Amino acid sequence: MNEGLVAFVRSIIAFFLLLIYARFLGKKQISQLTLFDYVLGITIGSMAASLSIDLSSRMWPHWVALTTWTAAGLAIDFLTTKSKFAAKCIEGEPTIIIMNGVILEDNMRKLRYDASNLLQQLRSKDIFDLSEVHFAVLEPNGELSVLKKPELQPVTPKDMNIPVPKTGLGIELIYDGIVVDLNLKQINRDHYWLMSELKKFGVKDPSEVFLATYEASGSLYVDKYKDRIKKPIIVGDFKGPY
Amino acid sequence: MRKFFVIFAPIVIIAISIIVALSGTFLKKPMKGWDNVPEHMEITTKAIMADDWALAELSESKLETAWKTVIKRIQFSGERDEMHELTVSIFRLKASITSKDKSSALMELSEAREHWDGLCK
Repeated sequence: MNEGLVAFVRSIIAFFLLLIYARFLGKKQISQLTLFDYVLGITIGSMAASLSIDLSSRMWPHWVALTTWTAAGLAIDFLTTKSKFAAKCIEGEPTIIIMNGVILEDNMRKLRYDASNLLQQLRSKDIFDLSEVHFAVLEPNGELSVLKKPELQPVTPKDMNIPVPKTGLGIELIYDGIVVDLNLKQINRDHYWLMSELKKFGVKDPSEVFLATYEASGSLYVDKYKDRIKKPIIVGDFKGPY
Repeated sequence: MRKFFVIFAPIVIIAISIIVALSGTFLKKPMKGWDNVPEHMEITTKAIMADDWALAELSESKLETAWKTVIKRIQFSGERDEMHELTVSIFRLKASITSKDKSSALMELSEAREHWDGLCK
């Protein structure tokens, strides 16, 4: 038995299976995961690793276990989407910790959440004075959401009656030297328009451009491969081996 | 076309993984005639029972060759330890036949049979 070859083949299979299953499980950010989602991810990863390297057992039981856990995770996600009751039981719900500036100790006790945890999370949100907090909510994923008192919230252009220009999402027109025709069509423009705009930036061919985006204001942002910056600033403070 | 590929590719990958995982049960079966491991075990057992050591040695040699071929096919889906145990049993059987030790040879054959039956199950 060639163990290296077997490990290689099983690893390739485990890798692609994990890729597909992770795609199925959805695209929540790490910060949005509940404790259970996190543990599920670790467990599934561990099973994929076993499938890859545990040559002392057959591949099939590992495959079944991996698929079962993924299917169960998907089923729970579906259930929590369809049923509010199930979502509350399985994922929990947000709990108010501070209400109108007052700490709710009973809620904290129920969650086994103490004052030091609260102060730590407030500090991570740059709040060092408890009197600034109007509401604080502990989310199911353990994050603390904070609403400051109205008089302490940052001023917005609306408060000052300042008109603001229209904003929107930038659309990529050139990505890594290649023109994105679909996006060009989306903004009702063609290659002739693009080339005429690029000429203003001294660009003769789209292959010279690393990234070009069409902003909501109607302007074009162009970054060329050949930058004017010859020597970038070295951010590190230690010379190092390189 | 792209949508078809996006749906088709994961299905194909999952299907391939299932086939590889379950391939052992199918690939254990003889494909070339001479790679029939249970048949060689049977012939060796009968030869040893009849004290025909020359035939026993010959069929053991064929058993070894057959097993070396089959192991290459089933290695991706089978258990490493089970395959190793079967290999060890076959080599012990070889020694038993060489020393004309009937009881030891039959014990090794019985063990080898057990490992073979348990492989990829």
